[in-house]
Amino acid sequence: MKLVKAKIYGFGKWVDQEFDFQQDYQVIFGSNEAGKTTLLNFIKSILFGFASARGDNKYLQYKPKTSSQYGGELVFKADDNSSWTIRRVDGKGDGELTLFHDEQQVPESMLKEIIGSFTKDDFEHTHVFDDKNIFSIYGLDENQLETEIMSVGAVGSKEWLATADQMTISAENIYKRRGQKQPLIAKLKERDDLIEEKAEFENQQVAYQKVKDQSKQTQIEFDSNAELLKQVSERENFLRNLDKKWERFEELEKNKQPIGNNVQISNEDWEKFLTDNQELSTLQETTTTNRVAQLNNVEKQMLINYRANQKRMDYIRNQKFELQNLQFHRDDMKSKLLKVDTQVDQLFQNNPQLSEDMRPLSSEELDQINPQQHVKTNSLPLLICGIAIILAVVTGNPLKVIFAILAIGCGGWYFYQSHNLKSTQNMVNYDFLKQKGYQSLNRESIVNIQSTVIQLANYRSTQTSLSDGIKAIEVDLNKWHDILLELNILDKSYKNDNYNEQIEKYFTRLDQIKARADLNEQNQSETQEITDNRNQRLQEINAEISQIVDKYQLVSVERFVQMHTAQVKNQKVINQIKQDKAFLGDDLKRLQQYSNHDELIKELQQVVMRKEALTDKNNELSRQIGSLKEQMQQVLDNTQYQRVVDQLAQNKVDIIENYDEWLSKTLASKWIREMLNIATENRYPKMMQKATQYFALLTNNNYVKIDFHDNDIAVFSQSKNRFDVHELSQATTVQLYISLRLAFVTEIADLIKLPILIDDAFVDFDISRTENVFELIQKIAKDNQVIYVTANEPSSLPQDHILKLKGEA
Amino acid sequence: MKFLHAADLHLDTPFVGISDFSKELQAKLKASTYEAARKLFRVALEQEVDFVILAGDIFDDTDSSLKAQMFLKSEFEKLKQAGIEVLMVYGNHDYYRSNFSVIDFPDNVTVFGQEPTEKTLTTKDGQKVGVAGFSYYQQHINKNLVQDYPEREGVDYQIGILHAGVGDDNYAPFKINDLLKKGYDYWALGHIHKRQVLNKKPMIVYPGDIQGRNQNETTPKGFYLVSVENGATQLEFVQSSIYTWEKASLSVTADDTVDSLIQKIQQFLDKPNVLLTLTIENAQNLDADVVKTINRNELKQQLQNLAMPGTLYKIYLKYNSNPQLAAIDQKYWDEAEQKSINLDDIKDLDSRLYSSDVIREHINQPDFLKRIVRLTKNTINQKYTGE
Repeated sequence: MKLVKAKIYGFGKWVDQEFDFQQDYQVIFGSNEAGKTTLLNFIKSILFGFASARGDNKYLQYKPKTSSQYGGELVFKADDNSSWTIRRVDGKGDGELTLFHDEQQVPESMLKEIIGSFTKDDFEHTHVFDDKNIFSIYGLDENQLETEIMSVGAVGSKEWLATADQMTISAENIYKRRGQKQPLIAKLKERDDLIEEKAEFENQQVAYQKVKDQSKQTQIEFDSNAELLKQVSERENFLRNLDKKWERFEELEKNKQPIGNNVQISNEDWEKFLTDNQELSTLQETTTTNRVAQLNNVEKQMLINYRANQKRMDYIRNQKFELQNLQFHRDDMKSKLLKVDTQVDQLFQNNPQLSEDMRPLSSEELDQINPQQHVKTNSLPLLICGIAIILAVVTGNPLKVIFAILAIGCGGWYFYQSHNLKSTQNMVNYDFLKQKGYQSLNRESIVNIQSTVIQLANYRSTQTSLSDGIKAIEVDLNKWHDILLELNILDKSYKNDNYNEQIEKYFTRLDQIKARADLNEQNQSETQEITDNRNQRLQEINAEISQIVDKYQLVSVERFVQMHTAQVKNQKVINQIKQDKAFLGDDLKRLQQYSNHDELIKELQQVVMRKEALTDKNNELSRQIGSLKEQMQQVLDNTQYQRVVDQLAQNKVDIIENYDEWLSKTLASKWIREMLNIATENRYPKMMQKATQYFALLTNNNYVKIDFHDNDIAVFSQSKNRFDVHELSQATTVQLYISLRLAFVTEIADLIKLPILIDDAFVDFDISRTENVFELIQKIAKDNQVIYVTANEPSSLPQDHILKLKGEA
Repeated sequence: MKFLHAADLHLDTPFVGISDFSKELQAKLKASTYEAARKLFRVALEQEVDFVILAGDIFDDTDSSLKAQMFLKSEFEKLKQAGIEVLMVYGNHDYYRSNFSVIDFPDNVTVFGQEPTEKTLTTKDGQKVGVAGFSYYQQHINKNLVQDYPEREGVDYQIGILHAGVGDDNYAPFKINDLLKKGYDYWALGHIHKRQVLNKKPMIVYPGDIQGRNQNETTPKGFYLVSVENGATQLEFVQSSIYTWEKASLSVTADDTVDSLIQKIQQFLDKPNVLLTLTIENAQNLDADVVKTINRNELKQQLQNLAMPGTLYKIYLKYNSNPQLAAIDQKYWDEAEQKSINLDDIKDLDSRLYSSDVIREHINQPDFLKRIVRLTKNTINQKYTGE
């Protein structure tokens, strides 16, 4: 394929521009910034797509600033002279591609006809020479340099080598020959551990059989032991039973049958005897019993006294309230008297002139002293007389008399008083004044004191009447006192006069005594009858008892009782023996086999010891059975084992997975290196031939041979001296590198034929070397189109092969 | 006459790669071999078959099989009640050792011994049936024992029980022709877990295992209900597996996101009790973040949270070949593959690893190299594309 035309719609600084290219080589000359590199990038972009707008690539975008149309066309001429037009404009991804073959649009996939399976990177690694990759040679160390030179042999070989290295590392991350913790190694170790763990598990079936056999054996032992234990236990219980009965047995042995007693008191007779005896003692006990308490002498006396004076005493009982009134009346008068005494004392105190012997002056006497003066008649006695009459009418018998007397007395006193008043008429110096005790007083005082004297006289008469009344009542009361004493109602020692209370008390007591006396009287007749009956019964019973005693020809009741007691005792012994025999039952014979208790105890102890031994063994065997059951459970429960088996299965898969990954990476790495070796080995012979030519040309035949052997490159000078790569000067190394690369491009020309793009790659070459380069380009261009852009105008080339760009600086 | 033909019960099989399943699902999976066996014996009772053939590998682990033995004993008792005979052999997995069989099976069970012998029985419809077979007494049998099987004699129907692989040197190797020559009516095979009928007249049948035990044992599993009428043998497959392992692949594009993948994978999980192994094809198209999400098991976790009827077991990412590898240097790549990947070199690669029995066994698997080449290519593709 030869690039014949580039048609730029818009790309960087180029807008609507066309370039035609020579089919062998085309030098494009222009100053800096003329757009040389842009043109080369245009070619790359149309062939392989625009750089994306992302990442570092965005600086390689050549969207024109002055035109809206991005992209353009490249026209290639094929070996068969047909033409291919590649049009790429702005579009999705790396641009919208349209492909024409001889003006006919063809599918995009036909682009392969031009670029093969090359990527932009591949193309840049093979066909593009720029200062960037040339200069990079200078910066490499020895090994890198050799790798770089070696890697010329295959497409993208440098990347492949890096990939191979990465894979080796990544494989070593899974497994390393002498590693310790890489996953595959860990898994292999885990497997060893798991197998060891699994080995520790006993074979389940074997374990089962073993435990089963052991269980069976132990069960047999247990059963026979249990049988023995049962027997011994029974024997122990038997002996313990005998031991318990030993005491009774011993008693039985002691109790001999009592001597027979022919005469037996029948139960019937004994019962009768007992009943009779009982009744007898009951009767005897109740002889003197009297339910009502007898009256004592005092009480009897009281009753007799009462019966003797019944009439009077009943009267007194009825009159007890009269007596009470009398006493009340007396007390009232006593208090009135006391009051009047007080008033008299008061009178004396208030009137110091007053003396006891002063008598009221009659009105005549007053008139004598003072004719206007009249003394009013004292009407007090009349008043008392009235009251006394009324009282005499309303009160009871004895008092009536007293009042009547009082009334008459008062009436008399009144008349006397009235008479005196009329008869006494005296003056101051008159006798009557002296008589009447006024001698030391003047007329005035006499007249003034008159009212007081009258008052005193009144008091005195009141006192007298009251004292008389009291006396009269006292006389009455004394009479009552005497009567009460006479009737024994009042005790002689009683000094108070609260007779009413005493009477009450006396009669209450008397009533009680009377009631009891009545009751006693009634009982007495009944008791008599009972006593008669009892006596009769006593005789009967005594007769019965003697009959019973006689029946057994016994001399006394005591003897009878003794005989019965003996009989009961015997019966008890007989019963005891009977009971003992029943209690001992068949054991009696067994007990009799032992000469003494110790013998029995000794045997029991032996049996107990034997039982203990058997019990211990029983427990032990029981424990064994339990443990065997547990073991059986463990044998049957194979969860742990199953877990190990599961882990082993998983581990196996993990190992294989890890191994496969490790192996595929290891092999991938190996494969890549192998491929690179083969590619290099295959291409190098022819490549070396060409490279040798190019190298000789570039070095003015200073070096005549490039030798490639066993992945090692050496060059030989004209004088047959051998040089390793690192022994060459930098400039020579670059020449070698260029030679090899150009040789590689021409070598793979049968696979892909695209123009070689050189972008001022040799700027630092001197003139002679640059000329050599141009010579080489011309030589290569015979088979491979070369497009060469440079800022240095070449002098030795035909003008038709030089395109001059106008500088726009 | 009716009988059941089952093999490879592998009771107590451990399941791997299930640690991130729910505890419930893990427990059910571990119990699934028993569940499947229960189904087998239930069908025997329901169908009132004459006998049940168990063609070896009944126990997965002979060091600890009491649970399985007790289970079988109780199931066999039920069959005995129904008058159903059991004819069984031990296979390479549960080969007979002393102390192995400690639980006594009831007397309706016939376990064949080390040498091929015959047992005859009469079915309910009056057919006289001869059943021949032998049990493994060691793990490997290199000898073809078919010729030692008794000759057919005086029976209406002749069955041979054989736990072996076709031409498989370690496991009583045989050729189909050997079986045909015997003139039997039915060869009840065991050992291969994939269900297959090797021949129809006479029947030579692998019923497969009764429950898939890992991601490679796909499809529903079960046993055969065999009916013989007028000399014609009919097979009816009865599923017993509780869980079905499935494989599926999903091709992805650059437009796929975690969400779109979840959406797409869900449709594979709408069947109950499916355990899915998913291969994502063209993983090179996926965004690096999506790949990370998958590698960190986050995608699987998210799907698990959706509580679909089926369960996602594993995701494999497949990086398909890159055009860049193909063209220019393809011949060198191919040449290098020959040189760098071969079995001997792999064995010599690391003695420490090769000394591991697991790895040695793995390497000696027949399709090991093919698988490794595929994985290696996948690795290279992945590297070249991704990182």
